[in-house]
Amino acid sequence: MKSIFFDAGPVISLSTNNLLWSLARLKSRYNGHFYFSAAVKKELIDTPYNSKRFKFEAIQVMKAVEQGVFEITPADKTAKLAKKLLDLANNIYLAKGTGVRIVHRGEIDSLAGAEIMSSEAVVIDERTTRMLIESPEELKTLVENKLHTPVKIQSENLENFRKMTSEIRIIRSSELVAVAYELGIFDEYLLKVPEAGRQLLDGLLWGVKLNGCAVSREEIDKIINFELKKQKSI
Amino acid sequence: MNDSIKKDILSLLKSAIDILESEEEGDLLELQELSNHVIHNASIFQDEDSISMALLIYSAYKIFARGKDKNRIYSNLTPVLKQAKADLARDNLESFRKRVKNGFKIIMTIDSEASIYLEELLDKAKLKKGAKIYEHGISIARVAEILGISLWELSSYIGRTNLPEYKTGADMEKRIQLARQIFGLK
Repeated sequence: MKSIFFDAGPVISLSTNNLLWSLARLKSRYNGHFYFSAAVKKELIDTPYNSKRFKFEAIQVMKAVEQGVFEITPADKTAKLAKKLLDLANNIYLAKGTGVRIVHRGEIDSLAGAEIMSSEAVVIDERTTRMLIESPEELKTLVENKLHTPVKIQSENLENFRKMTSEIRIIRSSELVAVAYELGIFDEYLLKVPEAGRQLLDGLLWGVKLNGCAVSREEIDKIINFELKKQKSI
Repeated sequence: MNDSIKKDILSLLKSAIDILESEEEGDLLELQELSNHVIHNASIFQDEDSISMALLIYSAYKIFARGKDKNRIYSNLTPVLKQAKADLARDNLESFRKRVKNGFKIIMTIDSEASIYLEELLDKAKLKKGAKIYEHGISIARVAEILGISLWELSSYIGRTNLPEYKTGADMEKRIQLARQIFGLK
């Protein structure tokens, strides 16, 4: 059955905006599985649940799991591939003779899970993991410029990482809220104000951006215009 | 400890000592610049010592900026940094790390409100330095792991900075078309 894999970031940006409920609606429309990995569960539920801050947010995510919106993939299912990918990813960029550990186990587990489950997409809000998949050379330039240190790409590791993740396609929470908007999931928030659709989309997209979704202002404007154009053409 | 880290921390300590001993007006700005510089190594090696040093220098800068007794910063913190430098030069890491911890305690005693404030200061310092490390290309979850902070808190903090403005990878239209196709929109 078809599936979508979630990294921790999109769940964080949606729940801190009180939009987690919209995923249940999106899931019924999708008619497939929404997964996250055991490592992501640790970040989303286990750690915040055992602290005071973000405990309620963790409870909301737990509720979504209990309601079957999310399913958690067992760690042993992704462990082998995740370990391989993590070793490769964290040894692609060499600075001062050291492999720069650029990604976390949770992010890599999401990629491994998506690969194993042949998921249609991985939802990742985070910039680095996305760049590693889509534009690793650009990531090298970014790291190099910021570190003011020459960075070397270990081509063999990058090639192997690319081969193992070549089927992975990435979307963000910004695309999810735009699609949910188009599907009418947020219609109850279309108020009697000028340009209600534009205002709603603007509020939704800035909400996820301000809670960690790496989407630029320019992209937000483009998404709004794209969605409003689609709406007009219907 | 890696030689490169050792060399960098020794140079950082020397600069911090020079700044504090000069007792000049520009010290505040120089301390801030110094705490940013150490982030390069913290990003590459992600080691406890580079990160502690970045947090210590940043905390000293913040206490300075609060306008607290500058003379006490000069007279109390400088000797500890000198001892830490000597310990590190002799590869006495255990003693070096104790001196760094002591540096944080001294910052607390300089500011009477600091026993409460330091915890908040350290939390803020971690977020601020975390955002810097993220800016250097390290993923957000990895940064949270290195600094021992909540991914929830770091995501919200970074979201409120200009950092995610960096445009990358697939263009917006392709990505949204993919999302629409997945959810059965034509």
